[in-house]
Amino acid sequence: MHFDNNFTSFGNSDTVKSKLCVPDRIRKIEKFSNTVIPYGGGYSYNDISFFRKSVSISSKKFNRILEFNEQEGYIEIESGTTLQDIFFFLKKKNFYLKVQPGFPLITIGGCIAGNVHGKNQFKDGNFNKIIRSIRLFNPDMGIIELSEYKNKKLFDLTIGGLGLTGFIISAKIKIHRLEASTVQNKKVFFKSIDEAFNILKNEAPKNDFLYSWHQTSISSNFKGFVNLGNFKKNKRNTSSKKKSLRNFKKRLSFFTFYNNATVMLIQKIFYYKSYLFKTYTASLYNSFFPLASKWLYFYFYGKAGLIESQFIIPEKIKEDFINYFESQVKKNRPTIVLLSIKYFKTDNYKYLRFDDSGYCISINLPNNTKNRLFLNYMYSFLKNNKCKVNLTKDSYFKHKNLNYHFPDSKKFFQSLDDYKKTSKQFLSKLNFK
Amino acid sequence: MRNKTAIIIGASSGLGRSLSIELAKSAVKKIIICSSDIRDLIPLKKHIEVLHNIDVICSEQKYGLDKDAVSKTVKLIKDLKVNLIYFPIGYSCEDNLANMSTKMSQYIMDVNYFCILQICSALHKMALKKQMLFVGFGSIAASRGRSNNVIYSSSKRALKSFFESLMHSLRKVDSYVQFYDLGYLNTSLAEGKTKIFRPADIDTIARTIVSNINKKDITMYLPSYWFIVVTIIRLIPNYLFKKINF
Repeated sequence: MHFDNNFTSFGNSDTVKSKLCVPDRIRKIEKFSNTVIPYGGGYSYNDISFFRKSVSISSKKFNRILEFNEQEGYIEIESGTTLQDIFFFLKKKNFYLKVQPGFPLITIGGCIAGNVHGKNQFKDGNFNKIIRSIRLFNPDMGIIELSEYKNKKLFDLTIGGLGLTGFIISAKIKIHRLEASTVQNKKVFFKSIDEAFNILKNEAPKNDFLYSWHQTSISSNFKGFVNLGNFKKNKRNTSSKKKSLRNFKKRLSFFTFYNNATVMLIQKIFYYKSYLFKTYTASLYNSFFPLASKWLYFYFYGKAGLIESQFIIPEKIKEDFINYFESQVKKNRPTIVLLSIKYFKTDNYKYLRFDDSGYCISINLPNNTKNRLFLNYMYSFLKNNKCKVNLTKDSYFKHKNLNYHFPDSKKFFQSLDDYKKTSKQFLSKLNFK
Repeated sequence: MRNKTAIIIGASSGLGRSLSIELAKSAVKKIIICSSDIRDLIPLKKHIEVLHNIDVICSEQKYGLDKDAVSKTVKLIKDLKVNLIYFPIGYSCEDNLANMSTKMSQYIMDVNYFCILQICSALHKMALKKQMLFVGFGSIAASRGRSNNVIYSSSKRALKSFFESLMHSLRKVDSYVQFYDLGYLNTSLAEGKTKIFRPADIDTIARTIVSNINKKDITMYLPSYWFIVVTIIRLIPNYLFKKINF
C-alpha cells in the first residue's frame, strides 16, 4: 500500500527517504499503519509533511469540488484540490478565495494545516478566517465534522495544526464575489527598511495586494518599493488561462548562479526596470499566483537549493530588528536573493499558527555555510524576542526552539494528547522537539 | 447520448471514477455509480453534479460479499432503463499466487468475473429486444499466465472469453459489446512502482472509451501499443518464458 519515496522540501534544503501512500478511497485512509502524516502538494519549505518515522499519506486523489453554494457563499472541496483548480472554477462564476498563498499547486489541505496567509493579511486575515467547516479523519474518532459550533477544540487544533490532528478529507471554504477582471498595480519607492515599514502600515487598510521588495546589498541601504495592488474592472480581460507548470523542484546542476555580485546586478536591473514602469495591470492569475511564472528563479539556486526564512517582527521591536539585521548583514555578508515584507495584524493567535501583529519578513538565500551562519545569528535574535516563525515556510527553523517562538505549543501538544487513545497517531518532526 | 442512462459498476476510484466524469461531460441523461463503499460514491456524485449538472444515483453494492448485490444491480438497470453498462470493477491483492486460499480466490473470481457474468446473463433477454451497450475491461496481466497475479489474471482471461461469446450472441440485434484490454494505468496501484512502460493517464483512456461509444463490437488494447507488447510476450517460446521472472 505504501512505497519508498525521496521527499524534498520546496527549497530542496531538506531531503528524507521515507514512505508514501496514495489512497484513493476512504477505507484506505482508515487502514493506515501506526504513524502517519498527511502530505499535500509538497510545496512546504520545511520537512513538515514527511518524516522518517512516519508514512506520508498523500491527498492527491482527493481532489474534487463537491459543492458550490452561491447563496450562502461557500465552496466544498476535497483536501487535495489545488488552489489553481479552485481559482479557475470560481473565476467562471465570478467568485474567489480571499486568502491564498502565491503558488498555484498548493492544496486546500495544506492551506488549512498551515493556516496560510494571502496577499494582504492585515485586511483579510489568515486562512482560518475563510474556513466554515472541516471533515477530518481522526484515528480515534473516525470521520468527524469540525466547525465553530461542532468539535470546536479539534477545529482550532486542526487549523494551523500541521496535519497532527488527522487527515482532512474535505472542507467548506467561504468565497467572495469578484467584480474585477484584473489587478492594477502601483509602486511606491522607499530608501530604507524603516520607511518601508511605515508605507506598509499606512497602506495596508487601503489595498487588496501589498508587499515590499528590497535591494539587499549594504550599499543599497535596503531601498526598494512597496507594490500596491487593487482589483480593477477592465474591459480588456487579461489572459488567465490554465497553465501547465514546470517542475519547480528541478534545480541547476552543480552550482548556484546566485552570489553577492550577481544578486546585486540583478537587483539593480530589476529596481530600475520597476522605476521605469511604476504602474502596470496584471491578470488575476499572475496576481494571485506570482510564483507560477518564476521557475527560473528557483532553478538558479542549484542543487543545494534555497533557504527560506519567514518570521514576524512585532511593532515594538522593529527598530531593534532593523539595527540587528543591518549589523549582521554587514558582518556576515550573506547572499540575500529576496527580501520582502508584509504587514500583519491579528487578535486571535492560537497554538502553532503563524499569526501575530507586526511585520512579516521573508528572506531567500542560497543554501550554503555562510548564509546558514547569518541565519544562526538572526535566529538568536528571533528566539530572544519570541518572534513567531512560519513553520511551513521556514526551512531553517530548529524544532527544539518551538517553545520559544510559540508559547502555546505546550498547550497544543497537551490538547492533542486528549484525542490519542490508540497507538495509531499522526506524527511529524515537531513531536520530537 | 442525451437520452441515454449509463451505469458504471466499480466507479469509486481509478478508471471507473474517470469514466463516470467523462460520461457526465458527454451529457448522458443520467448516471448510476456503483461501488462497495457509499462514502466514496457521494463525493463523486457531488462532483459530477456541481461540474456537469446531471442526475447521479449512488448504489452501494458489495459484490462478492453480498449475495443479493447482482440481483439488486439488475433490478436497478431494468427499473431505470439503463442503456450503457460499464464494468470497470476489479480487485486484486499482493499475495495473489497459485496457493491462495479458496475463500480469497473465490472472492477475486466473484468480483472480477462472476458478478459481471451474472449481470450480463440476467440482462441478455433485454439486450435482444432493446439496444444496450456492454463494456468489459480486461488486463494485459491475462495475456500469458505467470507465477504472479494468478487468480486475477485467470478471472480476466475468463472475462474476455465471456465477452467474446456475448459479442457473438448479440451480433444479430442492435445491442453491442466492447472489450478493452488495459495496460498500465496511473491509478493509485501504479504509484511508486517502476515499470518499463509509463502508466497511461486514466482520464485520456476514459475519454477514448467514451468517444468509442457508438462503435459496434470493439476489442482493443488501451493504450494501443500494448497490442504489440502482448503479441511479443505471447510469441516468446515457453522454455525462455519460464526463465523470465516478472
